[in-house]
Amino acid sequence: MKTNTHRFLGVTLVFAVVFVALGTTAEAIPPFARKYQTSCTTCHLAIQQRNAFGEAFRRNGYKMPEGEDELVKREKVSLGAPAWKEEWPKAVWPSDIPFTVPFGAYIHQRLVYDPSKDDNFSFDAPHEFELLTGGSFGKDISFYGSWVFFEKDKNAVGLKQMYIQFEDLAGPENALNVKMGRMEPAITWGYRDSNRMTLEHNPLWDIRVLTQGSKWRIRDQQSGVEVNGIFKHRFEYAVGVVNGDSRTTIFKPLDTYWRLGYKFGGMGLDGLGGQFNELQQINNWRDDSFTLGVFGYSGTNSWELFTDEGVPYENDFDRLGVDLQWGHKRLLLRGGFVDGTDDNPDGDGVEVDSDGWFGEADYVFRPWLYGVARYGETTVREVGKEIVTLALVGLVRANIRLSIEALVEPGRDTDELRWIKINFLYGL
Amino acid sequence: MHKFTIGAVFSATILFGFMTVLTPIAEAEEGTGTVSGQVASRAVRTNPAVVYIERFAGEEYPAPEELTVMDQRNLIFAPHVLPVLSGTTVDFPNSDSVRHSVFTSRKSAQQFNLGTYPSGQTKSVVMEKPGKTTLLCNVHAEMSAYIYVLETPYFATTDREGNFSIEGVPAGSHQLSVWHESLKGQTLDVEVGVGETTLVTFENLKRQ
Repeated sequence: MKTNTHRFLGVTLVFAVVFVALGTTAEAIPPFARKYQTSCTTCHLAIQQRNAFGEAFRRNGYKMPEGEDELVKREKVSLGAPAWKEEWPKAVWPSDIPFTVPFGAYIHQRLVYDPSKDDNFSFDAPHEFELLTGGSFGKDISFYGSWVFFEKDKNAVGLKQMYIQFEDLAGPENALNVKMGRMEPAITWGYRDSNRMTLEHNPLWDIRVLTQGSKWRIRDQQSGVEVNGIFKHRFEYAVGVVNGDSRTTIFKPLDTYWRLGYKFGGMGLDGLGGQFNELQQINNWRDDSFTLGVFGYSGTNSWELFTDEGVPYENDFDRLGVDLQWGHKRLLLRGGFVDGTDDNPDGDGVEVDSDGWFGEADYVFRPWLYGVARYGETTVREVGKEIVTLALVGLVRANIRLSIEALVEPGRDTDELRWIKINFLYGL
Repeated sequence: MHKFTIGAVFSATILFGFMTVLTPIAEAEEGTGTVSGQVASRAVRTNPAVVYIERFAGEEYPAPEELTVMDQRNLIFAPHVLPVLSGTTVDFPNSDSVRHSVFTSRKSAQQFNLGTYPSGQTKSVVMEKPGKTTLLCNVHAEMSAYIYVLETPYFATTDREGNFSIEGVPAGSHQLSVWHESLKGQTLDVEVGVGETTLVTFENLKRQ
């Protein structure tokens, strides 16, 4: 085992370039690059991790925070000139749609070393093929969706996200938006699963208490309605009502969640109140700021939960958490804490507590080369786990990423080194 | 040539020269200057803004005799923004290969409906009501334009960088305003000096 480990590390070092690829769901899609004829790096440090401007772009309904009209390079199909607003309600409110349906795709391939397997090495290629779409209808409606066509040897895995958002419904700009569909709940805004630097998910968002049914976890996409907004460029809020259990249709008490956050310094959450003047390609990864968020989620699990006797049961649960992020020059530090209570996860009426925390440091060596080190601890059913994730992230091109990533679980009974993966991802 | 004639010609030449030099000075002393500046907003890169001197008491301006044109070609109105002095006659030729149907929105200062008319035909309207008149086409929803009717001849449209210049503005205190289809308006007090250029910047304009 040790020899194989050394061999794998040796092979890895032979690689002239070590980069990181990010797999799974991203809210970065090539159609945005085509729409504005700008590089992916305008909004991303490395796909999918967004910079401050890219985050503002997402929050603004996948539109430029300022100057949308003059920055769009792709032709749109007008559904009425803006002046038709003056005719409403005697005429339909005007809008526009993309000239072509904005699809993009991600292909993720990787080489895996897993010391726990008899055959340690495997080519997981492709690991995932995902179709993405997103854009806007006029100035105040946006949409986003992702469909996984292939993942882990399975075809047509299914829909991950598909939602529409109505923006600027009342009050100051960005103050009131309503999102409806299947989405990643805003409780994870402080460290979105679709906005992480590593392939490995944040251990907090992966905490699972249920051992059957939906096995709910924070990062699961949910179907429902969310109200969100930004005040004074820096204060964010979100409240949502969703089906829960990651189901698009399920008749049971609805889950609810909320989030409050505030950003000090740097670019405003809406892209304003900061340094934004023009699209930037240089030093756009830097955002000296501090962001603090609190969030909560209350829900009921009921999907395919049965006792040993086959009796269905429900589990009510709560999660309460804090997340923070501090950026200074080339360094970005993140952290978070979640505390959870499940009143009946096993159908025996026994309450189970869970909690977790993590700290992560991302460093920009070059605009195309990043280092990531993350430490996390989770405790579920009084069983603790430590997780260390190390990664070197890089860009061959703005739309092509390679990475090397390792996951270590200190204190594990067997191999502490869980795996090493060399990932190759490209978007088109 | 007789000496008297030479002298007369010489004197007339000198006198004419003085008059040529003195006349502009006399006009400037009568009190006009220039207002220049910029509308600092990205919105003007897409469509121009209209910058104008608000009406001031005691001044009336006759309607210009020359016609102004709001054309229809390639399924667009041209120009997209047309400022005119109140009383101006605007021609609406259909230079396109298809029929158009020009009318004004309900929120326009002046309401009219030219109906549907074919290629090659022209209809005319005397623009009298101050303010914004929005043009739409009942056949092509993507077409729109604005005619902004002003009460003084002191106005200009911005270039792509938002720059403007208004010449011949009477000296004194005035109110200078800006209008743009997607921005909230703004008015500034300006002081125009004789023969001077007053620089003005409209900034922090909010989106509608």
